[in-house]
Amino acid sequence: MHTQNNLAIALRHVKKVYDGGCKPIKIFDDINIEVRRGEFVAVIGPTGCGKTTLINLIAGFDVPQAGNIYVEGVDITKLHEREKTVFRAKNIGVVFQVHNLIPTLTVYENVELPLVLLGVEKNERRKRVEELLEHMFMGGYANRKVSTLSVGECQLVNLARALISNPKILLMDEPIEYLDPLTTDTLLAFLKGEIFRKKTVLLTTHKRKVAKIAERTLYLRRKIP
Amino acid sequence: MSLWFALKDFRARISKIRFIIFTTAFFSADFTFIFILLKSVGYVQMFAPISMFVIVALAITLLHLEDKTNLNIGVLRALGANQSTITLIFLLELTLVGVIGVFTGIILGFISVVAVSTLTHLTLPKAATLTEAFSLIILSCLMGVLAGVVACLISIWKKSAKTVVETLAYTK
Repeated sequence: MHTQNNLAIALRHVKKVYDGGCKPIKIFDDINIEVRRGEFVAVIGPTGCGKTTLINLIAGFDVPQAGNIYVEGVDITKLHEREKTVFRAKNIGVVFQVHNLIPTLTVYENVELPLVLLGVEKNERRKRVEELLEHMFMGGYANRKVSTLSVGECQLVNLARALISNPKILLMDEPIEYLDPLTTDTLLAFLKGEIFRKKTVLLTTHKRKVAKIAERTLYLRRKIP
Repeated sequence: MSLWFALKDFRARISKIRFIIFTTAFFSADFTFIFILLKSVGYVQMFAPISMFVIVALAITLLHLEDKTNLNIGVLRALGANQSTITLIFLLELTLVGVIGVFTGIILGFISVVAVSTLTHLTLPKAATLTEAFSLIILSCLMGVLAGVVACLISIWKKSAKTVVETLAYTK
């Protein structure tokens, strides 16, 4: 076990159960996970094993029934919703499985949104968004509405939005799930690039090809009900 | 932040917002027209039921602006907006839409009354009576807007109090 100071993410005895109507669905009974600072970890497992739930719990999108979740040394299960929101904005970037971009805003505005929420000044925002979009070869897309983009392009915007606030931790929920092979390769090449160095990355996938780029792989098994 | 997002959202949802402003203006214009005509002929007993109808109609119209907002609320919450920021965004949007619609409607209603009175030689009430009538019309319409805004904000507040997972679960 590593010292608490070295850890970016630590789950201790976490239990998560969903209300499944007639009978509760137990996702995690007593899960313990540790991710060191700057580590790139892939979580691999079949559909329904709880990969998305794991991301949701670490990001503070959902609450566990029991246990503690430490992110950058802070127990987020003890934080009030308002404190958790501020903490997330400053420390965590999330790439959703379904991109969840705001369809009525442009690519530029979607990427700019986290910086607006953090209160970054307008000129600084423009500089950072333009630089990142150029870096991701998406400079020409800035003024396009996201409703006019393909799924792959949306996923790249989703990634750009997660990276724009320069978070210490990046959580990626099956980022290549709906991508074609070419866009997948582009994204994987990007994940190996400079921008991801020194960041703690937790990526979920059910594809071994994606898991191979990580330093460490964790396996989640599906519990047979 | 709230104003930034409200204005972007305002521009982005322009077709829906145009429809809501048009409907709000339509009710307000009709109300102004009917009430001033009734006032002209000295038949004002109908004011209370008509104003009740307008208040309910305006409130229901504004409620449409709150429809299908789960994705926006969920994403804003995920990216770091708190409950108050989200509620403020919708307060700004609703107030802008409601006030623009109501005042446009009242002006159009008054123009229509003046046009009708010119064509039919109907005598409009005196200035003092007209001022009193306008105060009542504005008050009733703003009560309708207020009712709509309060109803929407309660719903938005409840939605944004849920976890991100719960909010986004209702977007598909």
